[in-house]
Amino acid sequence: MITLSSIHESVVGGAASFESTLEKQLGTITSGARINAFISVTADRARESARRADLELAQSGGRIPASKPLLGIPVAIKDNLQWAGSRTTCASKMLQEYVSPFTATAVMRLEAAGAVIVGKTNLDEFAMGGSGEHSAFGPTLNPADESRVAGGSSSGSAAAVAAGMVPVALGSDTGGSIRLPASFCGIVGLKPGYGRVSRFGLVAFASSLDQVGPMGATVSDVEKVYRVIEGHDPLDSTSIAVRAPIEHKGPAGLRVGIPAEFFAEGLDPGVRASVERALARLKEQGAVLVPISLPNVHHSVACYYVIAVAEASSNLSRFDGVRFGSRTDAARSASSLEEFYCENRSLFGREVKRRILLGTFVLSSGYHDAYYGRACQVRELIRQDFSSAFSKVDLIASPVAPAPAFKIGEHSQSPLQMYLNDLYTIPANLAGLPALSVPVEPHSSGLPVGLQLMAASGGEDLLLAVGRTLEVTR
Amino acid sequence: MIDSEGIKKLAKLSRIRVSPEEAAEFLPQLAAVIGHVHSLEKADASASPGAGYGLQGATPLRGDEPAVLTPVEATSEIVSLSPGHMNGYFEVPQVVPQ
Repeated sequence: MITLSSIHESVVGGAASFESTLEKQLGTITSGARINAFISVTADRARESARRADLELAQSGGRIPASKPLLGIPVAIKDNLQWAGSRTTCASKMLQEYVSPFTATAVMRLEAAGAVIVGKTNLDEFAMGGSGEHSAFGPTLNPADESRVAGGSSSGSAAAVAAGMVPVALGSDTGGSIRLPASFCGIVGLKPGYGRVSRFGLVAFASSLDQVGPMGATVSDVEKVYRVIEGHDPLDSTSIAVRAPIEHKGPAGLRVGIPAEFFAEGLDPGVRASVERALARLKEQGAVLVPISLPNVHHSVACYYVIAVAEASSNLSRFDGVRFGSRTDAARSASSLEEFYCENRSLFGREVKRRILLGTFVLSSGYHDAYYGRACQVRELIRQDFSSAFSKVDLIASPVAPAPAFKIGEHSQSPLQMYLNDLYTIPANLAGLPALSVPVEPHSSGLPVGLQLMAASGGEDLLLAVGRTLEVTR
Repeated sequence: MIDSEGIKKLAKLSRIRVSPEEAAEFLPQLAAVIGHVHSLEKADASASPGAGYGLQGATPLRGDEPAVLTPVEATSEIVSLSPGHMNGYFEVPQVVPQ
């Protein structure tokens, strides 16, 4: 993998230019095309940005200006983030021809910091999936083992970093979509707390859960990108204005909660062993491991697959071939508006259709209170569990996923089995908390394993500080 | 619980075309997910205040000022991005007979 800091060292040291670095990375993208990490590669636009970055470096006396911490750095962005003038397909036939008329705030901040955007990455269609297999452009392969899934939904962003195509990328996380692929591919992924990064320009899946975040080869690289994209945005009414940093602590005296529910039946023994070894190293450095319980967290998957699908069915109603989306040939000869909508919306893939149907079901008359109302109540119980736990501990640690990356097609007939893979990542989304996935010692099979650290609201700094410790001692 | 008639009804409500093959595939899959969702009945939600999340007071309201808009330009840009448009309007199939 290539790192952000190594690029800056190399260019500032005179061993390379941003242009030559970009060409090298574009070469890696081309030679790794079988991984299917990218939906669009914007080489010409990137070359122009890299040339500008070289000029800016020369004008600033060969030093990286403080206002441009990402100067010349090749970055990939998930193809559900708007970037003016580029296609934003959400990996769907529905949006295959859609060109963004504006730029997402997070992407705009990357560009303002000097980043060179090299393209848009593959994902599960409309970010609905945990494997990266549900893309109209084909599955993303895991660079660690190409017969296995990269994890989703930010599959392309994770694979692009893991394959050394870019040092950092943007993803989005609704139920684990940054952390799961980060874990499966052996990279770092941060899901910031809800409201920490603007969602303006992120194509909505489940608006109360979606969050944009950075993915990268190292914790330091992820932190650099996070510092650029975080902060209030008046264009996102859910964006938080106040920054409430939690006091930095080294591992000494750090109270790390170990929730029994995340280490129960169903956890792969090899994943458990890798995670426990990482926790033992934290303990050696003075951290105190505190057994805790989150008694309602086992309801998370059920709760999520009511709330997320309900919001999705509402959010995706705009893709009707009138306001957004594409029109099919059959729709052009439709005899009614109803038929016209149905024909156009047949462009959705099967996973998206499944979730829209489920969302319509849980919101339908007579079922709304029993499903959606109940799930909202249970969501609050889960939030209260975390609130109570964070009165006793500074962080909560767990595996990211119950098992390492699985074979492509292994869970294709069982969506529920696929959904249960999100068991450890969904709770942080339901509670709106920040969570970090850090690679630890690989599984006995050699596949990557991720450790998840969760913090109370505003705890991103603490997560990154402890994440760096784990990285150093890896 | 969803049955095959239920799938058809949901598809109509969702404005989605579901083929007979898809319906046959979806039926047991959706039933399994809904069966799992029923586990929420076991949670003791009597102490839950219900929906309500986020950091209270941390998301400021914008100033009560008129937005600077150029309605004609904005409308024409939005409409021009739609899959079908004509003379600055969304184009849809004729639904009222001439």
